[in-house]
Amino acid sequence: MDTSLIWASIIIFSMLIYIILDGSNLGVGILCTCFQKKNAHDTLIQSIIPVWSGNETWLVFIGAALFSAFPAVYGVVLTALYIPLFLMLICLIIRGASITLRAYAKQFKRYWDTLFMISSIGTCFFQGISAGAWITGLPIINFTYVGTSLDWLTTFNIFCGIHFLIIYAFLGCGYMLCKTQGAIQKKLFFFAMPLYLLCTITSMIMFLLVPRYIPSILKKYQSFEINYFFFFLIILLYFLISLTMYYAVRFKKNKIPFTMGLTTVIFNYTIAIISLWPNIIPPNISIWNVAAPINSQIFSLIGAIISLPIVIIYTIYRYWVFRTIIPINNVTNIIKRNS
Amino acid sequence: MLLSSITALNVARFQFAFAVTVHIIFPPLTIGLSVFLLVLEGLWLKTKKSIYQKIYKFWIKIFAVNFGLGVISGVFLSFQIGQNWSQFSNFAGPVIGPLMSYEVLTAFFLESGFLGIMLFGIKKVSRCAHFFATIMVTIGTLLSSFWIMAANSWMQTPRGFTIIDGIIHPTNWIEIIFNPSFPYHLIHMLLTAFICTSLTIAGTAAWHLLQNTKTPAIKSMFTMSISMLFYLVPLQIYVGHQHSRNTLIHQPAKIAAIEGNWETKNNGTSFYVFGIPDTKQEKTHYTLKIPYLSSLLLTHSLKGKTPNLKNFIKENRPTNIFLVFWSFRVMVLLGLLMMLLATVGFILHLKKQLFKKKWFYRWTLIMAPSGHVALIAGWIVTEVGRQPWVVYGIQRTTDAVSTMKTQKIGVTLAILLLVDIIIFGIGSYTLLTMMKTDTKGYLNKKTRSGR
Repeated sequence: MDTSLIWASIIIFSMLIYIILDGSNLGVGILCTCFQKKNAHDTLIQSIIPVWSGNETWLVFIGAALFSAFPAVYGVVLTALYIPLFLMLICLIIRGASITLRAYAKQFKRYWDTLFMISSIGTCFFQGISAGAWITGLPIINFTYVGTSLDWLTTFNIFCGIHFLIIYAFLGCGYMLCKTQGAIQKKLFFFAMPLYLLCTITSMIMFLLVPRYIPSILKKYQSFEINYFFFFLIILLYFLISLTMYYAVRFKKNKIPFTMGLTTVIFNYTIAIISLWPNIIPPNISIWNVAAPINSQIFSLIGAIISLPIVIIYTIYRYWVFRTIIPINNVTNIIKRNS
Repeated sequence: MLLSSITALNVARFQFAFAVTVHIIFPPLTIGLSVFLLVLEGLWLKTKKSIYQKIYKFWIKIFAVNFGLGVISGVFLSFQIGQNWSQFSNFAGPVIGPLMSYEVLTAFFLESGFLGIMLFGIKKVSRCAHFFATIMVTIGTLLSSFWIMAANSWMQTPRGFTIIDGIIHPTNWIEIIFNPSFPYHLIHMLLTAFICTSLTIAGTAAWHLLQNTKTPAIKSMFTMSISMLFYLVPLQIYVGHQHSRNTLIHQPAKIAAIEGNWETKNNGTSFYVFGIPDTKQEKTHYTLKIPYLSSLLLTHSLKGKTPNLKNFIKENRPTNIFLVFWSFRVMVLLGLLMMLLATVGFILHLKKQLFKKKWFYRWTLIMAPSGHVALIAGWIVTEVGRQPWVVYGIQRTTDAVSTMKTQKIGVTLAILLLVDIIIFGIGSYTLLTMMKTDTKGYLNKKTRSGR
């Protein structure tokens, strides 16, 4: 049994779940900047209060899973991306604190809201930068990082950070469309299309840039026999999504943008994984090079196989319990009741 | 001298010590309060008395804020292990990693998954489903302490592994989890959590009693927490005693540092109540001692031999003996004071005088933070006393740190200090404000009759 392969699949799956769940929460933070009224901030933040800590747990799980199945990666990647990941963690501290404490801050509430927006943006941006630096490839010799502390600061990585910001904002917009009504929803519909277009443009640029910047991925693309068919498929898919988005915004179908956001994210993510596979530290360290001893992988795998399905079930249950739309007039009451 | 000691290693150590100290303030209350809330909700479902519901509603908000602060300080910690201690991650990851992933899988997901329902679902799900959520959160917090204490105690007394190519390979997971010091660490920590929580609840009640709000809810909180302390503190002192005897077997150098003991004494070792351990002269100065006490406590005989620091070569002695020595004394002193408080409180309770003595409220209020202080002091004894090892006897702390520039980690330390002090300062202030003000009148009989 190839436990490294199973673990890699679990980690790939968990990253997707994290991007979808926490991505839409982070997106809410980005979108808050577009709303001036305090009331709107209450509505937007209210929708993520019951779920944010559970979603952030997926990030901790990805860390722990890497630590147990590929400990060398945990050590090497985290030191290589030291500064962007550190800044991301600081943003996560501030973000969590502002969600938790804003309800009790009275006159300082708006400062917490500002911190919430800045730290949400920071988290997305540094996540994107880290992802960019990671797929570009890290200079590793003998399982030690040999680059400098500022290697991550490249144009491509910053573009990747912006790409993440836009994707998360689009996801957040879709998520909030399902959770709100009235004036806020109307404004969100207004944002949906531009965000989607930006998302498409940056995705396309990414598809074109990545092979140019990263020779190992270019080689992979060239080895595809169905090269043109592949690109045709991408364009077709984006075309279909565009039509659906236009339909959704035109006829105010509030569930569709989120579904389209999910499709885009899953699609982009799949392409990223195919490009990297089977390397876990690009350009040349594969999952089998850094596998933990088989005993460690099997032991933690037992836990994962038993627990993860249960975790997924109650994650769904939790979203189902809090599926209701947040009514505008009652927002302040809800906040009061819950605080 | 001072400047030359600023190395990447020392900055990394300080950064971890700071981050983990900030973190450990919150989990004990999470553990203790989740059990307390579970008991309250159970009592409420069983007796249908609204008083329990009121106390529940008062504490659940404090629980939520405390939980949030614990999560965010903890997320940071889990990544710091890889960032600053990559050599440790590479070396011990095959053991520590799976234990941590079990913690996330069985505990963190459970806690954070059901917390939302516990906090905001009271109107959305049935009472039984809500009670189930509370049970799940409580189980989550207890499992979390199980796994993290397994990882920590394994680093104190590593078992069940072999080293192949400079990397630890686990051979027996039962031996790894149930390593010799695990039961002592776990029970000591869980009791600490319950004691910290009882002291916090007692202190909160004492504050309200001092404001002359003697409602049944506050009275009941006070009685509950004081009687909990009466049972838990003596038990904790006994467990602590057994823990130190276990440490004597497995980590004698730590015990020697705790005792500040440099020479072997054939006629029994005295316990230094006061002293200044001096690493250079290898002596403890200005001692105030109780004869035979050390021997008696550690070996259960008056003239039993206890370990001394000169038995260990300098490289294997704990690096900061002064800190270990004094943290231990702070912890023990606070433990004894808690014992006194609980005993006096219980006697007053038996004599039905508990709500007639203002000085007792004041004393309880002053003692409220003592649980947390003792907790931090105790952890300093355990962790600083483990030095110079990170995995006891297997990997030195100097070999565990990532290779990186001092400037980089220095800058990140400065950012961390700034952010943590502000964020967790405000967080703790908010928690204290919530404890001392009862804005919703949950504890006040007159304003509301329970919903």
